[in-house]
Amino acid sequence: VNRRSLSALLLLVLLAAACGQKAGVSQQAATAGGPAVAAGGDLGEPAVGDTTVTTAAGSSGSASGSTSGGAAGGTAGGSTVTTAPGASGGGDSGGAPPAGDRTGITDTVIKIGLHAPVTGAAPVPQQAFERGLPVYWNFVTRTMGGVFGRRVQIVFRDDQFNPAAAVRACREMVEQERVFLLIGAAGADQITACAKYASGAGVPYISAGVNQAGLSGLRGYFAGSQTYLQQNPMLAQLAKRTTKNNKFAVVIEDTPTFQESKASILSGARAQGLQVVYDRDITKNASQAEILTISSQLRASGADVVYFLGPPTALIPLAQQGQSQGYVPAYIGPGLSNGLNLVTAVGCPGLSNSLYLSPFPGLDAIDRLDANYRREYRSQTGSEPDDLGIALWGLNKSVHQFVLTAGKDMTRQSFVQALETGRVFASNVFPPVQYSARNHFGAASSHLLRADCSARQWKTAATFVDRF
Amino acid sequence: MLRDRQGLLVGTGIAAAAVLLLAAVGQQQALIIGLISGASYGLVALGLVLVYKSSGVFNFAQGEFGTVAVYVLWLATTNDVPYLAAIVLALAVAGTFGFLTERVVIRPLAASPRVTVLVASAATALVAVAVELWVGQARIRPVDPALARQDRVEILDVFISDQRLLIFVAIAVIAVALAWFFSRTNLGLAILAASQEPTATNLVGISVTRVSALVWTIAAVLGGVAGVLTGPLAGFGPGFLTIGSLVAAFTAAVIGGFTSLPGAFLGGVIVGVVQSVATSASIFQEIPGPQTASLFALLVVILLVRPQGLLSR
Repeated sequence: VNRRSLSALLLLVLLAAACGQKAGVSQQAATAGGPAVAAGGDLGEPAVGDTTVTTAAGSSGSASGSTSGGAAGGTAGGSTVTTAPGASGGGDSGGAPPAGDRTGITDTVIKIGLHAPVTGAAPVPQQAFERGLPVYWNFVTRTMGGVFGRRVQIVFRDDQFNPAAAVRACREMVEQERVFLLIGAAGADQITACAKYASGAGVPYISAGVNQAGLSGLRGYFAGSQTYLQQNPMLAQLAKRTTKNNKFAVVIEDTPTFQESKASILSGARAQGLQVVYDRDITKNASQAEILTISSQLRASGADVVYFLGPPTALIPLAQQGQSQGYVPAYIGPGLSNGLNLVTAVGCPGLSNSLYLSPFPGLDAIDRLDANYRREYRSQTGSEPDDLGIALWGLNKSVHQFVLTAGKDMTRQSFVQALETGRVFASNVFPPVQYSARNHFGAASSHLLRADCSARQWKTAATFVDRF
Repeated sequence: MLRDRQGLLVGTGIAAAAVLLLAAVGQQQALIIGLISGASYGLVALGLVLVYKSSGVFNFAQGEFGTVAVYVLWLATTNDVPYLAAIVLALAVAGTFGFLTERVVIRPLAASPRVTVLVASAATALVAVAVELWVGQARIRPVDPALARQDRVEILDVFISDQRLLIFVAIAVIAVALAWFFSRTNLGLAILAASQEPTATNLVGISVTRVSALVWTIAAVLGGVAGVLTGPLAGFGPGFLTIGSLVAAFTAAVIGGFTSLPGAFLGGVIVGVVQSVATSASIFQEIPGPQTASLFALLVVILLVRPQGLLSR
């Protein structure tokens, strides 16, 4: 019996040790006095997997006086993480750093991780991407001396338009590069996968708006522009205004992530009195036969407006095959990668009548909205500005506003809380956003792009529209 | 005689049954789409069959021979090289790529197990994709077709462009030429001999290494033809034939019988028809990825019922 008890005790000890601190768990010394407390490893939700736990001083010194350190704490990998009682964060009024996780922030640098599909099914030109990525932050460093005296360092990873690769990339940026927050540039499935990982790891995550399913309820996730669900009622209105025969078709990539969007656009179209004559899923890497079949069926359906939600690598051949079948409808949809000029460059003239909503304006409107972009892009890169650069400029500009609001001594927790205060963030490139604790999908407008196939570019038909 | 023609009879019978079945269920259009898209798969499959027939190697670099060719076509046409000259240049580069692949990758591994050569061919494809990414970036690019008219023929509400018709003509000419080459010329017979009895072939004075180099060069030119003809259909990017057509072409080659050149074409058409039916038929709508699933099911059935393929003896 004694031996059994001893074995059981040994097992318990081993189990406890195994559930304790793991590789990748960081500890940061408190920089101010006061008793050390453990801050919430996540952003108030039960953490899954690896967790960053930061030991910090439970001190005060906040403009907002908000409580940081996670709303309720949680269980991280089996170990208990407690909330920092009375610790406060946010604001930039000085004083001792608030309790919370400051991974990725030093006296001189703020590290931000960004992933995007440079390769894969929604390819983005790598050189253009790498050129455009640092332009905004270089501008901030030169003209404003950085963010609270710190230089922003962007760590970038290609997610290959693959959710598994995206999670690997995000994990690497969090655990090895030790970034403060993550940004997802494009790709709904990749953004969803990374946001879930980031939530488990207690890392704030910001992306352009995509789906809501799988993202709502993630405490650290914030959509920087309208989600598909928010755009769909507008797109149904747009379809009603655009159609000449009232026949409407829907083609959506067959990923579970988009099912909510499919239901939403179908009900929106019916609410507008549109006749839905075709409704089909398309695979991510659609074969020639699939593309030809769908374009033939679309033509036969007679739809003159087609809602398309999927990667450019499916939209481009669909438009081209449609055109080869003498069928050029108005493709409409929520834009992100489909609103880039690389799509019209190849998809025209099949995209001649197309209209896409987009979180960023076209090259023809950016000077009116932000005069700095073109000048900075040219002077920093020596190249002509492109719309991919606008997307990156706008996204980074929004993040800049978020960081400024979170304050000099921000932690991951106070950053989230600062965004939830209800303040309106208006970058004048991306649409204005306003978040609350209950709503992290805070945008209410988008830009409308119209394909100009004579120039093989998207032109801005309207800015910050919220209805048609 | 009848035994010799067994494969052809089986293939014809299946094709006739498929046509009747598609007509009966109202999927005639799938047949036309299958023919159109299947011809492209068949073109890639021809190169696969050629290499396998002569060396027993599953060549995973076949798609890249075509992709490299279409990149050369694009580079040449954007630099104002006349279209015909650009095509000749593209095919020459593809042929050189095939020749170099044989000399640098395949020949040093001649004594290695076939699986090693297979992996080496896959590695060659990956290197080619990396170079394409470096040269052309990860973006889809347009290239003009050889023939521009889109609505030359309309069958069952499907327009067939001149470029698609050109693919049909190309595949027919190539299949007939290769069949004649392997059955009627000394060089063709030498290639077959080298694949079946390399030592004996060497003993009668035929250089097996030269034969191997020739086969890989021809296969690469065939891949190049596939690239320059299919690339303009919907634009191209790094690895576009490997990603878009190689799996379908392998399936087509297996269905047709991996040593049959007409079988490669028939297999391509069957793959195209199956993908089209899986896209359009309502019974498949609730299945995620019905095109891939149905292709997989077809492959399993063929391998169980007639593992040597439809047109193989």
